[in-house]
Amino acid sequence: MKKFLIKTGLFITSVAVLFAAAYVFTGSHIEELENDFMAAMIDKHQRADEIGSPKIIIAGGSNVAFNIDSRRIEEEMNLPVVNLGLSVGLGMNFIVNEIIDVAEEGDIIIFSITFFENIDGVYSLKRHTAQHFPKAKTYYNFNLSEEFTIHSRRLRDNIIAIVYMMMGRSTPPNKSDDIFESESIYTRSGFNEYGDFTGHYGLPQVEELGQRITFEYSEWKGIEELNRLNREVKGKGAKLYYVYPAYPIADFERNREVLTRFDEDMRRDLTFPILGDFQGSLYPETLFFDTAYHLQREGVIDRTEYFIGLIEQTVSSSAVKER
Amino acid sequence: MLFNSIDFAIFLPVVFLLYWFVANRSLKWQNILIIAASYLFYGWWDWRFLSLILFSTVVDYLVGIGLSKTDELRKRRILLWTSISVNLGFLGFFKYYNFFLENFITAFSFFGSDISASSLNIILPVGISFYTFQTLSYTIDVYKRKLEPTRDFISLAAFVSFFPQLVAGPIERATNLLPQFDSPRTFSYSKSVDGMRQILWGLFKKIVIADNCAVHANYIFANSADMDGSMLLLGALFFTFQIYGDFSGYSDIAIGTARLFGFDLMRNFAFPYFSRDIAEFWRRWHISLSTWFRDYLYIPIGGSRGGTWMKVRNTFIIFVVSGFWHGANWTFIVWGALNALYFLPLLLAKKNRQNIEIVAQGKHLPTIREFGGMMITFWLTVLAWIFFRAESLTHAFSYIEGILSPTLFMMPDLAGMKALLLIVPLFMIFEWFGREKEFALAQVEGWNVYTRYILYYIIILAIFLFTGEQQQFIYFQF
Repeated sequence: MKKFLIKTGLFITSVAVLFAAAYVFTGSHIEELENDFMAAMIDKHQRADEIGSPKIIIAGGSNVAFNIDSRRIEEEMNLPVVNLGLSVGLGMNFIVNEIIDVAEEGDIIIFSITFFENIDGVYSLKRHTAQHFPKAKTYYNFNLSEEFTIHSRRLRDNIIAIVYMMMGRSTPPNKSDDIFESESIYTRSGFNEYGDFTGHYGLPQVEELGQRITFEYSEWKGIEELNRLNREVKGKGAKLYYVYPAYPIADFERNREVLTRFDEDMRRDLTFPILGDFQGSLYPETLFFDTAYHLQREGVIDRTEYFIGLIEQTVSSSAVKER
Repeated sequence: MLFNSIDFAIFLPVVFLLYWFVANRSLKWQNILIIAASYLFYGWWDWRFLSLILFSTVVDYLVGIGLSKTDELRKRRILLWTSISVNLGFLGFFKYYNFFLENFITAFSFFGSDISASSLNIILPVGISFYTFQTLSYTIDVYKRKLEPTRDFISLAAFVSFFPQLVAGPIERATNLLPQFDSPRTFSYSKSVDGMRQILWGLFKKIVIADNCAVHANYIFANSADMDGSMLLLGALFFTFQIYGDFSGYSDIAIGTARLFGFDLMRNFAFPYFSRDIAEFWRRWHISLSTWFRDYLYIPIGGSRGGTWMKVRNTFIIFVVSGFWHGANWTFIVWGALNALYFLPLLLAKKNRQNIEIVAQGKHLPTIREFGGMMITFWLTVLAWIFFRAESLTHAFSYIEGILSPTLFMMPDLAGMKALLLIVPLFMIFEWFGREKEFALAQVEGWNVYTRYILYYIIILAIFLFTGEQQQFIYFQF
């Protein structure tokens, strides 16, 4: 038994040492790419801190990042605006926690997110974001199993890189954590100072729009998350409103029955107002850029005017007037 | 708990150390630890179904005691059928209820009757087909007086729930495994090293071969309507190696793990893809199930005794039942029937036992005749696997039709699969050279120590580099 344990222990240790060496050899592959899309969270929070309150916070996923001209809203409403929208992959829970962190007394929060989004989001994306913006660690829970997977993948990438080097090939394969390729338009520099994504302005529509899903729906846990958000921001003295995401007319027609039921549930269960309706958020397919939620420049103009109208009609309240 | 999970990587050494260092004071404590570990292992998936295992154990224990107390044939039969009814009753309900209900309704609607009945949302308990057959082997062997009934409930409970083979076999015979729970286990260095080797080889087969083949097989089968014949053929080949790597890999891990605890489980795979005819294939594929059906079904209904008609009937029964054991779907039944069709000519020509020895024993290469036999058997098996893998019979037939189209001669799109197309042949070559051993990696015994360890490192590296998305073991669903 002793011999077996010693030999097994030594073998496992030798494997661990070799793997650790491989891990260290090529260093960490989380390269702090300054231009990484998720690094835009640094700028968004910096702006939120700088403009103080009261302010208008546009929040949600990339749908609000892509679709709003915050400068125009700021000019029209005479209130500073920050667009926190970044990626829906972060999950409802993360996004809600982030808004709770940013919201202050007197703020007006306009929340809009793609349909039936996931509550937990993608762990690796959350972790990746927190490496750029460490405070984001407080927006999600640490998960040991996910961490193990991420480190294993990274170690695997490192070993592959070593194998490539040994073969005399200098270019290692893509790293698991490089979520957004460098040649993509999805970069930090694609955002303007308000947090709006403008990197796609002037670009033609892609051949096939992404996220054109036929939905199935029974319930959406996101409603509970939104109500939690409302409780928290209300406690801070901020006001929360919901707006349906911009969506192609054809996709709405295909999902009309499901989305109508969803709308009924939202209007019954949400503890805060929904501004406007589905019809106001529907756009011709030609106005979209790469997914069924990202508008092109022309669409952004229409969408922003719609937002201004909604805010003016519904939120002609104290915060606006006092300012 | 999956063998290829972090949970199991922690669970196994902990149980191993407790078994040899804490519970080693008595046989009873070792068996109790095995039961506790096995229930934890199973309950990790869904603790509610532990009650099924416990109930089966209690019933079979009482039936065994009852059988020991009576020589009266009628009472013995009642006891036997009680055990069979309880065990097969659970299996039938959880696995086949909806299948029979749906087919019943379809059959009646064919004759113009409109019957409505709602199917139940039944969760299939993992491994139910395996442990049911294992417990049945106990009561049947006790009934046939091949085995003395145990009076030690703990031994029987450990036998029924033994975690290495609880959820996907090998389906052990009570005559082989139960006595091992009744005799003291002493640690054996060589057995444990062999066990570790078999676990390593099983992980390689599962993670490198099966899981990577699964990615392509799943994609191709899911999109078969849009695929060229050449891609469909590749998909069938990928599934052929997936199911072998998956199931034989599981069996290797199970047998290797059992060895670490001092147990010898029966062999479940013996290089089936090197079989020279389909009869040999069935002596080498899922051996524990084939022999179970042979001993408890085929022989009792007459086996190959009697006239031609009896032989044909019995062969079809055993293959169709074997197919149905895999799942409540017509695809499995047709898969079984197809294998019966393959097997029958050999049986009727009395050539079903012509290839008993290991192919090309003591030689590097097979003869042309042996190679030809292996190729024919392999491709017949590939064809049968299409039915096994397809979602429905319609899907299977359209898949085969797709293969047999002119697009079979189109160059397939090999993007993303080149490495696998290199690894699978290398794997089969390694298996070929290890075919005279119990498992391929056992051939390293006697190799130079450095070569051996380099190979271990390469295998571990391959496991690490080729780890894809964790796939559940296919046979868990059976």
